[in-house]
Amino acid sequence: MPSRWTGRVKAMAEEASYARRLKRAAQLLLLQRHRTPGVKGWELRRSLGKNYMKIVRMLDGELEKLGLQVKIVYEDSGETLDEEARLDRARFLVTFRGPLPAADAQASGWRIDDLAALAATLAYLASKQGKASRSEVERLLASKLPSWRVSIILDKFTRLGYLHEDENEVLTVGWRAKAEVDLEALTESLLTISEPEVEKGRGEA
Amino acid sequence: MRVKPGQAEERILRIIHLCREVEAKGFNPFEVDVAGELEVLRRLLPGWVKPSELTLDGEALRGLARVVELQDEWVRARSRLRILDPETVRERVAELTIPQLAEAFLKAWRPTVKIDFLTGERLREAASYWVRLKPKSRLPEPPALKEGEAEASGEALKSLGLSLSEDFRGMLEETFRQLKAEAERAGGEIPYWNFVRAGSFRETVARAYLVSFLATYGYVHLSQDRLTGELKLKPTPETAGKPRGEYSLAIPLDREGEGHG
Repeated sequence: MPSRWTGRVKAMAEEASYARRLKRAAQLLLLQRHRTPGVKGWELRRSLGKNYMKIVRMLDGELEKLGLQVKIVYEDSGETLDEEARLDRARFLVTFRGPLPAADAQASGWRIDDLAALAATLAYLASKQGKASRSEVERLLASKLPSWRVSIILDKFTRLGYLHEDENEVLTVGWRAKAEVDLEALTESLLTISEPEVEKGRGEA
Repeated sequence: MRVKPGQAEERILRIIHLCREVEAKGFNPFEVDVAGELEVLRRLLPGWVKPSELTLDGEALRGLARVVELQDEWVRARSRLRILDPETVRERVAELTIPQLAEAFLKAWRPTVKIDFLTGERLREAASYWVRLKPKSRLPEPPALKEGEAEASGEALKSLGLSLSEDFRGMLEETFRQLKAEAERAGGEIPYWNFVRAGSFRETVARAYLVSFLATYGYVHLSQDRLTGELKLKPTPETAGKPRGEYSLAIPLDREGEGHG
C-alpha cells in the first residue's frame, strides 16, 4: 500500500533532482565552453531534460538575489516556429540585472569612444526599426569620430556580436546587443541625459 | 460582384505574399490595408468549395492576423521609444559629447557574466606544448635586413615630421584633398610618382607614407599597369574609411628621386 512515507521519499528525491539540475544549469550558463558565451536551448534540454525551462526560471530566481539574470536571445530565422522550437534555437546566457556601477564600467577595458559609438549606433538602429545601411551608420559616427576609426569600430562591434552585417551591407542589432543592451533605457537616457548629470556621474566614479 | 476562380486565387495569393513580406522584411505593418483585405476575403469566401481553396483562405486570414499582431508590436515599440526617429538620434548624437554618449550607454548596458576555466585536458595540452618548445637560445636569428633596407622606427618617422597624433589626421586630410584636386585636373587618376615626388627625399618619403595610409584605408585606389609597371592613384571617396586588406604592394624609394616599383 503506498504510504505517506513513500510519498515523502518521492518528494525528497524530486527535490534532490531539481537541486542537482539547478547546479548543472548554472554551470552550463556561466562556464564558457565556446567562443561565444552562453548555451543554446537544445543543449540545456539535452542536459536538464524536457522541462528545462522550469529549471531556468528557478535559476533566474536564485540569480536575482545576486543582481544577475538569465537572458534568452531568440534567433531571427525568419521561419514561423512554435515556442518549443524557438527556445531550442535561442541562446541562453547570464547578464547583469541592472546597470553596471560606474567604477566597474571604467575597469571593463572598453574605450570611452567605443562605448559612445555603440550607443549612437544602437539608438540609430532602434529608430530605424532595427536595421540601417552601413554607410548611413558610418556617416552618423563620422560626425563624432575620425572617419578612419569608424570602419574599424563597426567591424569590431560586428565581430563581438553587438551588430550583424548581411551581404548587402545592412546592419542590424546583433545577438549580443539584444542580450546586453536595454534599448528602451538607452533611448530614454540618450534623450534625457544632460551636462550636469555627466559631471555628477564622473564625480561618483 | 463575381470573380473568376483563377483571379480569385491569384488575389488571395497576393494577400498571403504581402503579409509574409511585411513580416520577413520588417516593413511598416500599417502599409497593409487589413480592413480592405478582410473585405476581399469575405467576398471571395462563398465561392470557395475545394479544401485547397479553403486552406488558402485560412492562410490569408492567419497572415492578416499576424499583420495586426505586428501593428500592435509596432505601436508598442514606437510608444516605448517615444517615437524616436532617425533625425532625433542624429541631432542628439551631434549635441552630446563622447562622455555623455558613453554615459547613456552605461545606463542601458547589462554585460554578460561568464567564467573562464581550465580543464585537465587543456592543462595536459599546454604541458605537452611547453615540453615541445625549443629553448630560446636555439631559436633561429631573424633574417638580417638587406643593404639599404631599414625598419621605420618612431624616431625615423618623427624626423620626417610625422607622428600618429591629431595633426597626422590633418596631414592625411590635406594630402587627400591635394590628391583629389590633382587627379580631377588629370582626368580622374594621376601617376603615383607625379604625386609622391617632392622637392627633397625626406618630403618624398613623408608623402609616400601618407599615401600608403590613404590606400590602406580605402581613400585611394592604387593600381599598377602590368605591362609598363606604371603606378597610378585614383581617389575613391565612396570607399573612404573602409580598410582594404586584399593585398599589399612594396614600393622601394631611392635617393635618385624615383623608386623602382
